[in-house]
Amino acid sequence: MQITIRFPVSLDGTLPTEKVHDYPSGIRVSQVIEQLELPSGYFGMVLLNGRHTDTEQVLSDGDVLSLLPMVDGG
Amino acid sequence: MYGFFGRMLVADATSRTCCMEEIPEGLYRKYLGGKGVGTYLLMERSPAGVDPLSPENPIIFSLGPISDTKIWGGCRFGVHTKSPQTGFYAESYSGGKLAEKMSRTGFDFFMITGASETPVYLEVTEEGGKFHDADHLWGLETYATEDALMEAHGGKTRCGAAVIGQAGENLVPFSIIANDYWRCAGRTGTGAVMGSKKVKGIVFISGQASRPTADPEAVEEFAKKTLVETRDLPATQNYKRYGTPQMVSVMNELGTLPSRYWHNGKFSGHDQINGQTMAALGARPKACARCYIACGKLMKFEDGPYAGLTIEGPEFETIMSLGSLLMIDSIGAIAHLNDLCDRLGMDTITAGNLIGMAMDGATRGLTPEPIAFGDIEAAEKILRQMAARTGMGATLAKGSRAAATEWAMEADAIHVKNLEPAAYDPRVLKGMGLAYATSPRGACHMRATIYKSEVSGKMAPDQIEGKAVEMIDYEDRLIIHDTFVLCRFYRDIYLWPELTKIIQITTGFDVNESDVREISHRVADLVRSFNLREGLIKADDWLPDRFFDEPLPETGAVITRADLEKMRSDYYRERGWDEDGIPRS
Repeated sequence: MQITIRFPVSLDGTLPTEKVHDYPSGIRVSQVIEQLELPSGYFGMVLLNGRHTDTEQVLSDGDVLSLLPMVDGG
Repeated sequence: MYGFFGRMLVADATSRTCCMEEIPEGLYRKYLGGKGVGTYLLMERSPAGVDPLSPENPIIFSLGPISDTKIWGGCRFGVHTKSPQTGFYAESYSGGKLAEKMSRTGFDFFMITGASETPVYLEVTEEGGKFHDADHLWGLETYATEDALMEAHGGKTRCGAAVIGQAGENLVPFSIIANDYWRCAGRTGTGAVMGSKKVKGIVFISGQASRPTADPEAVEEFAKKTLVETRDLPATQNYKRYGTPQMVSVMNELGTLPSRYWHNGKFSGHDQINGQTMAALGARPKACARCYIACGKLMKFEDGPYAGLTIEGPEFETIMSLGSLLMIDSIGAIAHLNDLCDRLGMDTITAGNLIGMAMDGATRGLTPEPIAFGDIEAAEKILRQMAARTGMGATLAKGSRAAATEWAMEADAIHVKNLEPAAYDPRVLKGMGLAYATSPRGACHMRATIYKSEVSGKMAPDQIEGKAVEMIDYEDRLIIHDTFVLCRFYRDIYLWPELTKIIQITTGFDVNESDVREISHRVADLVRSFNLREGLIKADDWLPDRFFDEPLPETGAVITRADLEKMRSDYYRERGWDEDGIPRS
């Protein structure tokens, strides 16, 4: 099944990216994140189709997963 | 006694006399410094029901056991009084380099009572305080006032000053007290209390006083260890590179960047006003004293409409209040409006919210004059009017509640206890709804900073169960911060064990983590008792109706009344308060 992975905000100088990936059905958000091998300390919140989601959520074909960097507030 | 000088300067503006008072060690053991003893003194020295702008309302500047020591983050001072904006407890804190100078006068607290008939400023030295005429300063903006006081007393290596602008003189209830140009005790209108006393500023002459710590070697070792272990963390580096504006585009993606006076949670121009854009424009890290995080961003505009403007900022909250909230997508324009607020001496969060309310009302013909979203010149004009209390600004200068009444916008105005929220929409971040509703100073984002838990993925924003307990842990730790007086951005560096250790090595008090939590609870109860004494009721701990009834269009998000009722009830219970929010002990 096809999942769109978005990095809509970058704090490291790179441009925002969006790419469609193929994953086996039944895959969970946490498994996708693990496979992305993000740098330590990068990951903050994950949005599924624009809303906050639990990382144990099972994904469906056509889902859009947005990964946001860890931020610290003001 | 270690960690404290045990002295308070009491300056009576009515008689223009000053005296010193001893603070007994027992009070420090019970409440610690800063907010702790500061609140105790406010409770003791202000009569119940005091008019915030009357001579009887004292204003207290506070330091704590880490001020001017080697503990990182101890660069702040507190201000405690009764707020002319909310009518309840006022506390506000400011960074920069002034706290060091204050500490080197050898006092822990500086209280101003009474009111002068003519403008004065207060000079503080190790020997005590002295009032001077300030007719020549009255009417000046903050930067010029600070410059004049520095020049008169030996320059910035020798002294530092806390001052008010024209807004404070004119008793605008959201006036600030400023220092180091761009650092401010920004919220709850402490500047108006200074103005009511006709005190234009306080200049602190740095002396030889050195705050004694119980174990100087342990303090030095602790500071070294902290630096080595945390200076390269991603969080530290993010603050250094992008400051608080790192939040702008992330909050926009979450749909919680307030826009169009709280009608939207996203702003199409977010990438023009974020930290990345500021960095690309050459914003440089700027640190307060005793800090390696350097969250401040110094911006210099070399060309364009704001050529010549230099400012530390704007911060994330100001980017919201003078940017996205008003549909202004120029970082230069936001910096310009921020600069104007600083110079005139007004809180950017409240000022921006008030302009937003006017722009919103104008779309329905509710304001006496038209003012459009995105109109930078109109925003500038209104800011000047608010400080001078002229034109439409005179209405806004009364604050959200009064202005909304005058313009039939009671159902539209966004505030809690007459203090407007910062850049976190509680319809998405439910914990911030609880924080805004229950904070002793109104819709404040800094007392608990529960957003940190909600945007980091630690606790889901929609989660209601357990949210009060999570928030109280933050709030309790941050109360200890404010007794130190410590910068917020060390909140993930100093957790309970580190906070306990800091007390042990600076004060020598034999405390464990449980004792420290108990001190925090005691201070929380004391603040609550002050607010109850001043007339606070359960209904004051609530959100504006729009957050319940107006879903954000991008996400459909709302907070329900049942959500807030549940969290508030949990909060009262976990705090040990009864169902009306009254402490049982």
